Amino acid sequence: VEHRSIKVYSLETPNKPFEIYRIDTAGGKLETIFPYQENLLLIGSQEGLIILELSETGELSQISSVFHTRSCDPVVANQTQMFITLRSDSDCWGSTISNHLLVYDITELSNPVQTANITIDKPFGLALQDTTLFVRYADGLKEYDVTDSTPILLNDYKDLSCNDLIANGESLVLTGDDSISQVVANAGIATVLSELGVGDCNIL
Amino acid sequence: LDLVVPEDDIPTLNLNVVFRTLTASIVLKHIGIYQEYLLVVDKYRGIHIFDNSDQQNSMRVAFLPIPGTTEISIQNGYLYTNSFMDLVSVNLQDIVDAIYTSDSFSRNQDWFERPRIYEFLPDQYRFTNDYLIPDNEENDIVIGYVASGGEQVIYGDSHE
Repeated sequence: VEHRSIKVYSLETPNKPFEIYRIDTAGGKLETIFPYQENLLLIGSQEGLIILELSETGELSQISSVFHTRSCDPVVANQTQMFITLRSDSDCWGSTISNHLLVYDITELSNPVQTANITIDKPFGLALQDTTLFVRYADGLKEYDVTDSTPILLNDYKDLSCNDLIANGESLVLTGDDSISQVVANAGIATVLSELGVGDCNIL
Repeated sequence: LDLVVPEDDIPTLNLNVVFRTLTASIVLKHIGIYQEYLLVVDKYRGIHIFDNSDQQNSMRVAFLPIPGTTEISIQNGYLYTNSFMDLVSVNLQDIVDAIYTSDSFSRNQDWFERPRIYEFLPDQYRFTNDYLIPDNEENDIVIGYVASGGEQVIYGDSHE
């Protein structure tokens, strides 16, 4: 993903990728890429989200897009829903006041339908674990049940601040400014498995 | 560019040292997972590889100094990352199997757009007038900076 274009590389020779396709995109600067299902890409930009399909020959075509206010916006998705967080801060040029978690029904990929819009203070990364959505925000980590179209807040782990997170099986990997922690967050209790950072890094 | 991976000896790469001397720009952010290994981008500097088979006792097994790196992707046993304008690929399985050689690493030059100079400024300068540094030196690229206090930071030097 470049600023306003997406390139497709062939990995036929893994250590010598070659470009096979390029598509220019409309809208804001591109930021995040989320591979979805077998042959789809969800691309977050500073002005919206684009759903693209990858053909067997490596060409990309746009299926649909949604636009929102100018902000930063990571994205994750499960089989039927797409979750976008919007954040406005100094990292996002010209962003307006906008701090939200947006949920879209993407059962019909060509027509994403917004089903929820939740105000949340400075959301950063987000991660899905089955029917649970974790959202890192200003004060910590929120846990939502996303079985239905409207997320239900289950827990708010205020001690778990981080920059970004990913799900790794049963646990979460969180990155902070100067440390990486692995955590199991369950039923309101966050158990830190390990913390790698200042003074704590085990070197073989 | 040399790729440093530990052989018999442990690399002299200690996060403590990195943090103490280079706090201005350390950002641990992007994470990847390969088998039982955790890969963490040390923004602009390189990639830490942790053996994560015991999540309560993760151990760093290698550091790949890759100046300019910001994001990673892992596909079919290969790590792909950006190094300024270059696309770098690393055979992760070779590292896991301890059969890493120079063939396990490849650098494909000039694949990405030139980064804007402001993207490599320390955060505290990004939205000041320094943002307006002219970016018309086609053959130049920012590889670090000297802070007003004299502190010099060269991206990718954390393996020194």
